[in-house]
Amino acid sequence: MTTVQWVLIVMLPALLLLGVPIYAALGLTGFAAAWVLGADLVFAAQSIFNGVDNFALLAIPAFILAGNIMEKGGLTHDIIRIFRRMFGHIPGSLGMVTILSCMFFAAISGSGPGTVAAIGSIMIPSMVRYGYPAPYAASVTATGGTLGILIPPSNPMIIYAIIANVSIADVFAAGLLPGLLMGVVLVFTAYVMAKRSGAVVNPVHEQEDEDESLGSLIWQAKFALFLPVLILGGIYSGLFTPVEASVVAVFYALVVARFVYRQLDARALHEAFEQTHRISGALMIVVACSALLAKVITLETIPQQISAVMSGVSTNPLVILLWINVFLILVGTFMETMSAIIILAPILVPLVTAFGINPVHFGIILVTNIQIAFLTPPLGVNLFVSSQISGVPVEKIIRSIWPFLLALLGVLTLVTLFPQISLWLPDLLRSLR
Amino acid sequence: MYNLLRKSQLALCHLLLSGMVLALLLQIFGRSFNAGLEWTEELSRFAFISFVFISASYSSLMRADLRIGVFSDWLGRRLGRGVVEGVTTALLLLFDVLMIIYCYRNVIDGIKYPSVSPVLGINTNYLFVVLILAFVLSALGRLCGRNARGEAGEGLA
Repeated sequence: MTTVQWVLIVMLPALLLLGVPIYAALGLTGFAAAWVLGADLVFAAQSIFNGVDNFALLAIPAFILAGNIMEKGGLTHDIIRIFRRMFGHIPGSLGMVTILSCMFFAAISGSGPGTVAAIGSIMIPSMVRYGYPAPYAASVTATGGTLGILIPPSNPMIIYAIIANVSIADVFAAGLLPGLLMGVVLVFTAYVMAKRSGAVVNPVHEQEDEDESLGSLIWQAKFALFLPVLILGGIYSGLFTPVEASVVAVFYALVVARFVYRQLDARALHEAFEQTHRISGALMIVVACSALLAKVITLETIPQQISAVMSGVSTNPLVILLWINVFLILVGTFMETMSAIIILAPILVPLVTAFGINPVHFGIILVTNIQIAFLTPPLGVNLFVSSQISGVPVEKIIRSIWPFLLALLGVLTLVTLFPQISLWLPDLLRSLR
Repeated sequence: MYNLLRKSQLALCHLLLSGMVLALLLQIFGRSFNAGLEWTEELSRFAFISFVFISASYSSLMRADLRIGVFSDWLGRRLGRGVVEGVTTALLLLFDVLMIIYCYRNVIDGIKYPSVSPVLGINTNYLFVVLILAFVLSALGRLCGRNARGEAGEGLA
């Protein structure tokens, strides 16, 4: 091994374990590697700058802002009311309602933890009030939130598409069917778990929902329901690029929350912006600093070396994909979402394409793995968010999350074995254009 | 000092994010009406790059930056929380200083060998001034000691 490879293997994990913020751990390791390589360190600062000098990345803070405005503007509440009216009469159905609401919110926000926060703040207290065990309420919300990154638009997908040099619209389309499939499987799992817990037998009767017919609730929520149609319809009809769609989403949410719902005052708007700064700042600086590390990895020809090792293991693409899945699940237990994509995609995409695997299909496999990583300790981000909202300790949530994890692993296996699940829709949309 | 840092960064972030979104909106209108507004793409890109680094500094000040806290919390209990925090803060300051020095070198290089943007005609190396500002603000925030005690890892993707 070269000195640079030793720096990467020792320094990065050491800094991460020490609790240094991920961006600084990536940046310091990159600086050290560049210094060992004998490069002018001006190159390191330039790489960090260039890491975010990419037009497609502009969509990320805009989608985060749109999601925050929707939440502050009361649009989320209307979506939940519809699903509660549709399924609330079924005993033990609030878990299903939570998953379905998460699926819908995912089609707007593009963020996993963002979805948990938006839906969980309404659904977890509601489930607890109706006698659902608090760990169940927390785990079903944490799991539903994982759909935020698989159902388009998705922030991690935008970053993957840029790294893998594939169309963002194609990756978005490829995520739709696996996302819906996963949603259905999770709804079923949530229902079975609620029934088996025994504590949940009573149907839900929210007075505000009982007074309204389903048609009336749908009509009231028409503006919220139209947003995903506008975003995805705009992208696939060729009306907007993904970046433009994110800005349209911001203005649409702003106008509807201010003038239709009349809930967005100056204070709420300030809070939506402030939340966006905190989330985007924490996220995008990791993207910037990862670019430096990705450059060092490329200069050291690490992807080629890993590819050579994997070729020795097997020449069967399926076996390679299964090995990669095992590796990603292990890595996902202690690596943050964006960092995992940014660090691993430049290594894995050349590897899988060398084995003839479609990079769009691989993107969905990677994102599905990251979804699972949201729920696996010690760094299961959705677990932390759900724990904060519910007040249930993370250890208790982990104990009740296993059935959901098994369901997610089942869907991951299906998506890996049958590329058509992810590739059918983008192929169809391309043929229609 | 802490409040001054927080409010100034918050105001800058508001300005840059709003500027980025408005420029992109103008771009959509411009394209719809065949009005040549190519400058909006560059302006939004520059606003975005500036926003990323200033908001990162703000996020750091608010202790919202992403980190893995499980092992450091354990280490903190064994060695003392102050020791681990001290080492972490020193490393963060080192990174801030490295970025300030080498971003400054990029600005100087830009004066000698300008890299001019095609539409607005701006020397893009001057954008490194924003990075210098962001990392100076970040270092000041750490020296204020308000963001040295981070919570366990939190991802927000």
